[in-house]
Amino acid sequence: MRAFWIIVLKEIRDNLRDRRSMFFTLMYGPLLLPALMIGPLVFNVNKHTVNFEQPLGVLVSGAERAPNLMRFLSEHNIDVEKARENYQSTLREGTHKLVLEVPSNYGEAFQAGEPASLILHYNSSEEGADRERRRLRRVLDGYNEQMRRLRFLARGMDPQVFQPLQISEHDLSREVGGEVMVGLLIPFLLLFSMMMGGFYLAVDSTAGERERLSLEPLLVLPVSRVQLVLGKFTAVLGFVLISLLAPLLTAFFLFNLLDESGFSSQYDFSAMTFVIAGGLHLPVAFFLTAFLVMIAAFARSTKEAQTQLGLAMMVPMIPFFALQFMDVPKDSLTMAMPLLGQYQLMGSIVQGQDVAWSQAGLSMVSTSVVAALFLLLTIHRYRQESLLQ
Amino acid sequence: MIEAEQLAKRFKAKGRKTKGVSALTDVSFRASDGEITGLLGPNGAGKSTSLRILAGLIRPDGGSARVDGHDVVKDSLSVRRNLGYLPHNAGLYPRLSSRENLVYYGRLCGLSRTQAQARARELMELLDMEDFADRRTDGFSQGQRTKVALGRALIHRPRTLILDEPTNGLDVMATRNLRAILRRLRDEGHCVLISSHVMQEVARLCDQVAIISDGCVAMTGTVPGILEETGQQDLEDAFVVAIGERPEVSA
Repeated sequence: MRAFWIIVLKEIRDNLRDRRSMFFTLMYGPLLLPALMIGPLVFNVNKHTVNFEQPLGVLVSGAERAPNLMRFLSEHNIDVEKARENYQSTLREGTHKLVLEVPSNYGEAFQAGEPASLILHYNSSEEGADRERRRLRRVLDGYNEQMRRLRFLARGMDPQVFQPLQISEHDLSREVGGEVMVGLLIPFLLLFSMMMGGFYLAVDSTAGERERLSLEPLLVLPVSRVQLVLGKFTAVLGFVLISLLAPLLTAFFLFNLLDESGFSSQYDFSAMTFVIAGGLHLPVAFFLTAFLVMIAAFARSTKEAQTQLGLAMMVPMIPFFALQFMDVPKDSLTMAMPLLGQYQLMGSIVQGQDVAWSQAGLSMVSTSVVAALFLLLTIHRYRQESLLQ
Repeated sequence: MIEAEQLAKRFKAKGRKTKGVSALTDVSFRASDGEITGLLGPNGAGKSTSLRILAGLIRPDGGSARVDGHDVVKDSLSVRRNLGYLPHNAGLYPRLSSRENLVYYGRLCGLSRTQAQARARELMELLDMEDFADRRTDGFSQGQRTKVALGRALIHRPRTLILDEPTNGLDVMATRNLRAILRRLRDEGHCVLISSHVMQEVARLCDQVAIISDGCVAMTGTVPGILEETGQQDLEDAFVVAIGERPEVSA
């Protein structure tokens, strides 16, 4: 077993000195990939999320004409500021986003029981203007409703009479349309990060070693081929594990930047989700490492290994697309398929559903079994004479 | 002590159209302890294949070989424990320094860290490698690479040394230095087997010569013995005669 550790340490040291490889292990998977995949999602969701808790400052022209409305607004977390005379031009210039105008006949019309007009001026080309408008509109609608009820009551009528229907929506679907994708995003991110993290060392220590002719003297040493393959495998696994854990941390951090909204309430982005994701993907780390090392060991040159692995990178994407476009049942068969099972389970976990441990176990065991098979094939490859040709 | 008896090796065809290649048909020779034995032959004669079989890297289809009494197929691990092997165009780890390359091999051969480091220091002095001891081997000249590879082969003080064209890429001084080292190892009682296609090299260095051609050992003996047997004045002519050509045609 001593030779095993010597090989592991040497391969790790060798790889640490490879800047390109370290970029992919420490920067690409852990930082760049999550930033590119999750960043835009968080950014867009936050941009369109209306936050009713936060005070919203609104410019009002003619606020003195509607003191009750102004009180209602401030009760609903809207700070009223006095608008200047030339507010239309400041709106166009983009200095302000939203101005509420209370016309001069507001008080008269209100008292006469006629519809009193209010005008919302806004500039929809300004970022965030629509979000502020929606929020103000909702508060104004609330005021409108309150006034309506009071007027009915004042005339001795039950306001309910004028509300023949009470419609409430209740969506029983657990999976919300195209947003299934978010559940698949995490396994996709992890798979890609792991592939890239282990890629260079896997190629360099197998096909690369063959190509630069350092394999032949190595094979003559009194070291068994099993130890040799396991040593290389373990070194690659070390880097793949970094590429599993680091993006999990980054993803946890990024998803928790999401504002409270209808979107984020559909998902469970708690620490536990990411801990389970890590556990679920441990066998995948074995699987991918064995896969990378095997492909690279069978390739005749680094170039061939890179080409083949480039194509092989498509494999982890197959379940991703299959699940997006097809209705794949969640049963023992699909759970037992490496990668597909993890995708399905992660989809459920991210949506806060309970996961059957039997299913998770099946997925983990089957993935490990396939990984072991790949490893055996690699050892077999290292026992072949043709390895030297 | 190396004994090869009627070694034969055939490489299978890769595609359907090409036929397999018969690399060795009958390779028999002995290399004794305390002697430098040269395997002399033209390119493609089967030198490297023979050495690879002796190093346990490939299995012979026929015949057998023993190193210090251990069968190279059945008892490969015992053979490899006491074998220093320098392959043709041996590659190094480009991101490790010369010293790290040596120590890695020493450790894999079972030396402790301090032993391997001490031995590496010793070899780097012996092989005149101090100038590039702690430089990464990326971008080394062929001579520097050969020195590192040779040091690697010697790191665990192997009893038997198998060197495939060791003077490849070395300049005059480095070659002379290498010869001196090999002679010293011989005098210490090691068994040294080298392959070469350079006549002068073999004539200067080797105590025993086995001439190999087309996968077959055509003649064995000392250099004077071979000259006498072929009735030639120098080894090159003797070699041509030994492999069955007429000297006047080839010259």
